[in-house]
Amino acid sequence: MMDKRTKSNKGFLARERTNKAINPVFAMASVLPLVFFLVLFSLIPAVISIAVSFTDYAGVFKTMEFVGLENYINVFTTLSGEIFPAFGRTLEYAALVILPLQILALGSALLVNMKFKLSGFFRALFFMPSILGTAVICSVWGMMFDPYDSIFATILSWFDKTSAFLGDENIAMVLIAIIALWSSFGYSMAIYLAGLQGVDREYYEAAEIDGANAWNKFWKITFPLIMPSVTICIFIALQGTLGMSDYIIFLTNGAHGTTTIGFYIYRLTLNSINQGQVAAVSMVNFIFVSSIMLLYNKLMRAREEQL
Amino acid sequence: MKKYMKKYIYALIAILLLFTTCIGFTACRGGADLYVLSSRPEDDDYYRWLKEQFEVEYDCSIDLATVTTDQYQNTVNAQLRADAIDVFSVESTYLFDEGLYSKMLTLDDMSYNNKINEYAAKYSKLDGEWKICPLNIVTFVVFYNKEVFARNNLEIPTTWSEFMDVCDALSADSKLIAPILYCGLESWPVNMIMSSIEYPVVRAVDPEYYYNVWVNETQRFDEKGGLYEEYFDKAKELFGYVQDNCAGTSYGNKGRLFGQGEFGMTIDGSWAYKDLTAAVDGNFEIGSFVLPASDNAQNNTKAAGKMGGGWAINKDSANIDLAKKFLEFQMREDIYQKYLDDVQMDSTVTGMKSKIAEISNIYRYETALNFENYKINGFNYQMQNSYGPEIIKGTAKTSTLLAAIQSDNDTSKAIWSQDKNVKSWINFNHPEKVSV
Repeated sequence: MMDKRTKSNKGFLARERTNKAINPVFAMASVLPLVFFLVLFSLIPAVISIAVSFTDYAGVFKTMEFVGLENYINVFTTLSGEIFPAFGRTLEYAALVILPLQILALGSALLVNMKFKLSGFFRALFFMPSILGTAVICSVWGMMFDPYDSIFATILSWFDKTSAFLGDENIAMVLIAIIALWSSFGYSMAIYLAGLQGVDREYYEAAEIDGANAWNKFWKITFPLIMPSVTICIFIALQGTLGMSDYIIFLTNGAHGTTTIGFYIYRLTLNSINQGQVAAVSMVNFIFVSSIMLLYNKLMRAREEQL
Repeated sequence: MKKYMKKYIYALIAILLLFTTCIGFTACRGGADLYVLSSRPEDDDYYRWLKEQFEVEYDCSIDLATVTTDQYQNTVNAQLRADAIDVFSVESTYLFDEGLYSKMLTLDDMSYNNKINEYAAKYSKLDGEWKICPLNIVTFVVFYNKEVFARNNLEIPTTWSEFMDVCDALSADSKLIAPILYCGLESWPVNMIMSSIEYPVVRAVDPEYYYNVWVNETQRFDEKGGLYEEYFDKAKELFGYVQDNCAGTSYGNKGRLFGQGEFGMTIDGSWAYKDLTAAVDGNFEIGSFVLPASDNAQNNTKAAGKMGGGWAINKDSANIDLAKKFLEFQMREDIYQKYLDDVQMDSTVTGMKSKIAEISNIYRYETALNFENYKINGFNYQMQNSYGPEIIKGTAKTSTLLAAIQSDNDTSKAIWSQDKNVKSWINFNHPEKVSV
């Protein structure tokens, strides 16, 4: 009698054979909806945006004029005093978030991956902030950081101290990073958890026989095997932090040294009559972000191959 | 396989058709007779009432949408391009936006025009043509807690030195956190204070100050520094009386904090009265006065402000007649009276005021155009992002602030050269002197 496992394997092999013989028309048709939406909502707007960046488009196409590189020259001359500090703050924010986020998310994933009574509860608890809307999160944290009548103000008052919290340019960005960490680590935790659950228990059993301690098992087995999850999580964090504007919009409106490049573009979009200028700043930002992403991708690929 | 593929392709076509239909439904007019776009969610209750009344009176249907102020200009641009709206909210500065101006219907034949007061009429017309149906005027004032003033035997100050005396007296009141409540987390509220100081200190003394700066680019603020030194010095003095850590307090919490009765005054736009009274909830009365930033009481008789908003009609609207009726209806005496009472703004109609005494009282001053609207070349208007925070911290020297106000001359010049509309604005303010 054929056992279930053999049956299942046979099924898998059969599917594999089917996949090899897949009809190319069917394959094309399958990706068609994705390509359609990608072209409609990403590619076409991107191409229009590039074209607009060479114009003085002010909301009316018939009065639009070609201005050549003028908008790009402005980025590096007249607007540089605002744009480059905004790039700097974006990098500062990314530095404040990315590494702590990975440590927090991986630590929580390791915790909830253990078999104990409340592991399910902790999984839900850690993931919960990720499903809350940014407006809700910022509203609650904004209240908690109020210099009067807030929990943190009360705690500081026990030590006879006060603070403007989000109104203090020395700590505003750090506080925003803390809020972002709190609200997003659950998502990364879920990715790490999936990675951890894919690690074969047999590796650990073999290591235990060889006398490996918990630290060695983590560094020599777990970490290399969840490297794809690390790559993805850092990639997502990079993407999120380099374009972040939502927390700033809700918490400080760009004041107190918190204008990131994402927020700067948002504000420019709303305030500038010349949308061509906005498109040019966005293009420069695109080059900035994609350069970092490409560099990261190259580094991580090399690292993964090494491992 | 072929059977499944056929089904799949049918399903795919069905999804794409459904998607296209959805886009079509979204883009096309959904059956209303008039499409109205408002920029003030705060006034939604009134506008819902207006819509119902108009629909009954004219047996039609209105689709009324509201977009928040910060998102409004982009939305209105997009909607006008698609001719998806008939009536839309405007500010007077929109007259100088080429795109928006080109879509505004001329409203010279509206019956309410002859009732509009001189100030509102000026900011509703361009080149002699009515383009805006002006609804309200807003000003910056000092709101004060009448109970706190009575407790300390204080009168409304009429000069700067009297105002400083009031602040000193309130500083000594142990029941108060601070004499003045300032909520500066979002940083833009600093503009309201700076605007309140500017008129009495600068333009009341030299009405042609900005015009002279504008005409003669070499005549910078440092050369006329006396007035601006006073402007900065007084701003710094004032911020010495606001609560500690004011930069961390959100503007959204202003009502709640003021309502607790632990502050004597707060400087805000006249629109804030509605929220402040709601937060106070009858625990004490709120009064108002213009910030007396000058030591000459006669210079403290105007409140800085602007025409807050109005309606315009899309000149390519499919239903211009009904749109005009909507504006006429809005300006009908009984309807407009309800507007003034509900929205609590100043009237643009000669002889009409809110029937709520406290509201009329706020608007007892003449309005002086807010200086931000002058758009002077070389002047740094981004107060909240430049010298504003320095003033609030109280650490900046006046000489540094005078430099900061011009520090980004290049940026300002670039904005000036890009902004084709600014010249129209100056031309509008000084048509007798400037030819653009």
